[in-house]
Amino acid sequence: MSNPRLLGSETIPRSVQEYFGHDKVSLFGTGGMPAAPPAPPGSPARRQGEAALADALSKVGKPGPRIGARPVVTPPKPSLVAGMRKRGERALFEASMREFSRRRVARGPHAGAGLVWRRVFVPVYRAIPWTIKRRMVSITSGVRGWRR
Amino acid sequence: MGQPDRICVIGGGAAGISAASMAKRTNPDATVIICTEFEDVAYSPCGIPYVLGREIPDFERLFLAGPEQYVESGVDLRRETVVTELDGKNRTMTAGGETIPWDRLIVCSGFNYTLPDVPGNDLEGLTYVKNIRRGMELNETLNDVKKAVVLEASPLGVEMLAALAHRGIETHLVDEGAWLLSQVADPDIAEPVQKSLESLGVIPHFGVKLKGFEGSNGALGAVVTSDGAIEADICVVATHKEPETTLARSIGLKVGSTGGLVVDERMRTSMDGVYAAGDCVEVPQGLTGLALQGLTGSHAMQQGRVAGANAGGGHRRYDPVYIPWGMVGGTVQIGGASFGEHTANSLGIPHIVARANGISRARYYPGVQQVLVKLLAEPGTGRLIGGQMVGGEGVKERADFLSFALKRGATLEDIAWMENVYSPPIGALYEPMSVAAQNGLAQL
Repeated sequence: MSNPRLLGSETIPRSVQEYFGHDKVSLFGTGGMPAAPPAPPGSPARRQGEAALADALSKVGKPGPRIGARPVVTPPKPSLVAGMRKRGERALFEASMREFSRRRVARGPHAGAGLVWRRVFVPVYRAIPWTIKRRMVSITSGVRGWRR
Repeated sequence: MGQPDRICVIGGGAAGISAASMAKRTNPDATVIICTEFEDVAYSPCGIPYVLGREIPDFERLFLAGPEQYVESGVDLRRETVVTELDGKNRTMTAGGETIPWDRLIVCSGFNYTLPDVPGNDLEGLTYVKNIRRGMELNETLNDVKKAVVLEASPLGVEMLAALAHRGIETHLVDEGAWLLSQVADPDIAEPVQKSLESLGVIPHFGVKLKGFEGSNGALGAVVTSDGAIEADICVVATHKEPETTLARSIGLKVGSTGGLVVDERMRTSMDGVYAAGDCVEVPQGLTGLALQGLTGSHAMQQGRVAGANAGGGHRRYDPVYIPWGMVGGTVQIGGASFGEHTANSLGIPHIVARANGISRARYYPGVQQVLVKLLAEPGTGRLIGGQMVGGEGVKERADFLSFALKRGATLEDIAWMENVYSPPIGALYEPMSVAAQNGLAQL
């Protein structure tokens, strides 16, 4: 016989109902195995969360520096290989997107790869058989010391 | 008997915390020090969009452990401690003004978003979802936001689109790609997600280039695109995850073609005794060997475990990746593993496409949902090279399964004849992946 504690949504702790949503813990009100919510009240994790929230709320709307407020960088100048890879991939992705978009009669991607990459690199790359391209990828990827 | 090892970890994210914990577990005598520039550790940054979207009621639930729990386990956790200098020759690092020696170092410095190189990129209102306390502040700010733009339909971008729309904010997407999640997903797989987001009120602008940000008094007023300006109170920047390698490069660690640190399968960098894990490294894709960077939190955590175990004197190996991925966009689940049709087409990988439109439960069972599956296989051999799926439920489990099948070299034939669970509330008689594989066999 089924465990009556698992039957009926009224036996599911309110905190769990709030966290998971009633319909997800008890499938149409007939079952479910509610899991304990993370960071129960009074736990170290919950206390850390409450301290973090209090600190954050005290800063809302106030000027001043914040840790992690601007996690953004201008990427360092890429090496030749990295730069070639980035531009080449972009051109190939754009070309593929244009083909799919034509089939869907939808707008294509923004053409940002550059004319030479679009008109020269893409057709040349596509003309090379995959077996050769695969070897090129393997040689130029820089990946060493991995079991294959 | 010599001195116990001193293992230092830079970074307190998923990779750093798991690396430190595993290093301590592997070598309980070692002194393990974690330095993180942030106030908090052991919380789930991936949950932030869902609190912002009010699907999770509060931020406190995202915390998984308190700092004292690391002290109890013997790890020296130093928060708000910025590592400013590394010395590879003398094996020291300067953190919080203190010079700390290390025998082994684990670099888990994570990522930063790529700064859009356009005018106005320093305006107030450009928003980044990464740090939980800044997320808490954003949550309050959103109460006054009427119009928002999300820059790039990356996975985080898609999550934020739904979150902002849930808050009743007029939400626009600006993306240079031709469809949603175009870096990873095929257009037909992404379409149901896009429709779901549009039904929530999201206004997408595809094939559009960002030209700049405009505003007055230092605050954002509009996002300028190649299609014109979009009024906005905030712009959520969800651009590429650029690996943070500044310190690592300062001691000469080798950087690969993605900009991430080069590591081997034991997560060793190019310098003896220095390991790295998480968003700052690149690892090979299982089928092609192509180096990839900026994967998921679960990848970061597993890489950290391997790096930590090996730094502690163990002998663990991390395998090339097949990248199972999945997420909810609007009300629809989307996911896959390895290559999709668009990415395979882009890279010129020969493939056939096997499709099926199946169901998630017995057709008569309440709550049954469509599941569209696409499998890609090598012509001739039928060996799987990837797949994608979209539907109402069961996407995560299928993506995980597909990834494992890829790793084991499964073929369409294997999947066509696979066993599957049949139980009306949780699975249909015909597994959609199996049906797709059967359809694909005809093309071999």
